[in-house]
Amino acid sequence: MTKNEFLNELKLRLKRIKRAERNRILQYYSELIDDMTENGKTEAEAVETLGSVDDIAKQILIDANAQGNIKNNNTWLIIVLAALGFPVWVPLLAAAFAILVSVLAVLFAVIVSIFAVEIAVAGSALGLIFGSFAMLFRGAASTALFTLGGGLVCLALSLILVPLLFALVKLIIAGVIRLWCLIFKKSYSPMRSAKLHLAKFGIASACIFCVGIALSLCALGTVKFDITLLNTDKKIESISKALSTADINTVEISVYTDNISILPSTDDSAHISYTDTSFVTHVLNSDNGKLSLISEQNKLHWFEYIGLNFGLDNDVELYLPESYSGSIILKSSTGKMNLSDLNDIETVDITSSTGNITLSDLKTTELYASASTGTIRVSDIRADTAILSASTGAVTFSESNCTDSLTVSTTTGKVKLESCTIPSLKVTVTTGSIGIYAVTCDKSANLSSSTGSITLSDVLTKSLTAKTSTGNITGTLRGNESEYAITSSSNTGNNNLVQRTTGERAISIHTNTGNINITFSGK
Amino acid sequence: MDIQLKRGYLEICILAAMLSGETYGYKLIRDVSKYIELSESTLYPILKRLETAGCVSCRSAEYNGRLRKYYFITDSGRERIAEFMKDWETVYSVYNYIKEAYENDKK
Repeated sequence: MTKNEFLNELKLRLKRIKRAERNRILQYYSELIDDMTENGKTEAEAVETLGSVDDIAKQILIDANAQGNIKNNNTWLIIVLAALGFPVWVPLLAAAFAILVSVLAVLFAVIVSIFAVEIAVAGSALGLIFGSFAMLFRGAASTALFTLGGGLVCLALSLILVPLLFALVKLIIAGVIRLWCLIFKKSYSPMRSAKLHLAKFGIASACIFCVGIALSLCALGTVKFDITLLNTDKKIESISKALSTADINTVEISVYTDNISILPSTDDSAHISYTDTSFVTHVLNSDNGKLSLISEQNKLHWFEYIGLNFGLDNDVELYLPESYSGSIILKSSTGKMNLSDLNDIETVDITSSTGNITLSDLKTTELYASASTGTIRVSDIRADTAILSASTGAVTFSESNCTDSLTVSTTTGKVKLESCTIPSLKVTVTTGSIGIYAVTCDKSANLSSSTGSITLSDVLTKSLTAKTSTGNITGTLRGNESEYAITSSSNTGNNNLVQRTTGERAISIHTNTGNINITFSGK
Repeated sequence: MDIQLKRGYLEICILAAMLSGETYGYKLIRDVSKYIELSESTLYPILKRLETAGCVSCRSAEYNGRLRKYYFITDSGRERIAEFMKDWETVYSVYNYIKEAYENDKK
């Protein structure tokens, strides 16, 4: 028997041995035969020396059985069972996968929320510490101290959270890696344990916490532990004066952060009240028929620029007698403005930046109101002409009449008119929407919007022009369709109007891509 | 000779044959057969056992245009021989005692 014959015979008999082990055995015998032939034996003699193939194979199989090197014969059976069990193991596998994914999601959510807590606490610490400096600027020392104390307590909490946070994140990450190794049978090597410095953080945090508490207690001590006395602003003087308005034809109030209220007086004289503080004083002046209150603070503080106001605005209140028939000019940057129950005013001119303007129960010849981000809310007004403008703030005009005209303009703010009688109405917005409800316009109504929609309900008008670019124009008009001369167009949208050339009233409705849906109520 | 005892001797003999340097299958059979019967088919499982136990390591190297496996002894293999030697000191003293008693009895 040659070497190759011997090896082939052996290979045939070792079919049941795992391939790697079988190759090692064949390699061993091949090497032996080679060595023997190199030492002078022929191939046949060498094979002869090894003994019978059957005996060798038998011995190997006995050893292999003992060591578990036998191939699994049930491969086919397993494949068949797996295929038959398909409806069972696929859902099980899917469920296991879903559980794994949800566990990971929960762990991730826990990490994120703990980070959020840390950021919130650290943020409040910074806010309070900065805020305390701002208050110190305003001269409110004990409040500043109290706020600083609170800020330090928050800082301490955020500091102690840092090592705990890292410990937790590490724990979760290690757990996930361990799970991964377990599932995919990879070898797991634990992470190098980094020092958490828990003690250092703890001591620093405790110190800061104690200092914070001590400061707060000191601050409370200065006001004899009455927390309501912790005023945010140190008032120097609350001033209240009675004034004669006999020769006055103009009232002007110009402030920065104060709220302004103009209200009717209960007697025949005017009363004004305002608060001078360590930081803001007011100059009250009355000459040449003009009553003026001007705030001396001629610029905002840095902290007011970044939005920290701490409710520091005080109120200016002016009570006017019924007999007053001059003009009212109000200016405020962040304050709210409020006018109500005044008759026979010549001109009302209100300018605000972020403050809201509220007007009610007012009779005036001219009304001008402009706000930037603040809203303008008008109700129960009688005016000849009114001009209202806002940028992002909304404008609401309700239960009011103008004898001449109303002009409203906004950029993104919504405009809403309700239950009004206005001869000439002009509304211009860019992206805001326009809503006109139960409004009568004897002369004309001119509504235009760029992307906003226009909604009409129960509107009666001699001449209506409504234009938008992408918005819809929908709603109901009073009267029969036959009363109206109609021109309308929508380039790509739907249009339910039929063109009519004659009629005592005229409507002209145009949109580029929006839809037109106008109905007539018949009344 | 008892088969278990013989298997034990064989393992130690093979380890001892490696003490003088790395060696290969054919050379092992030639060296060890001078003292104790060792067939080609018995050598393979013994080498495998010693390798699994960590007493022996091996490497493949080219020889005469083919690969040949070279075996060498490890530290734990050396310890195994040392243990054997120690055990046999006891066996030897017991042997001497038995031998003396047996010879006295013959007289």
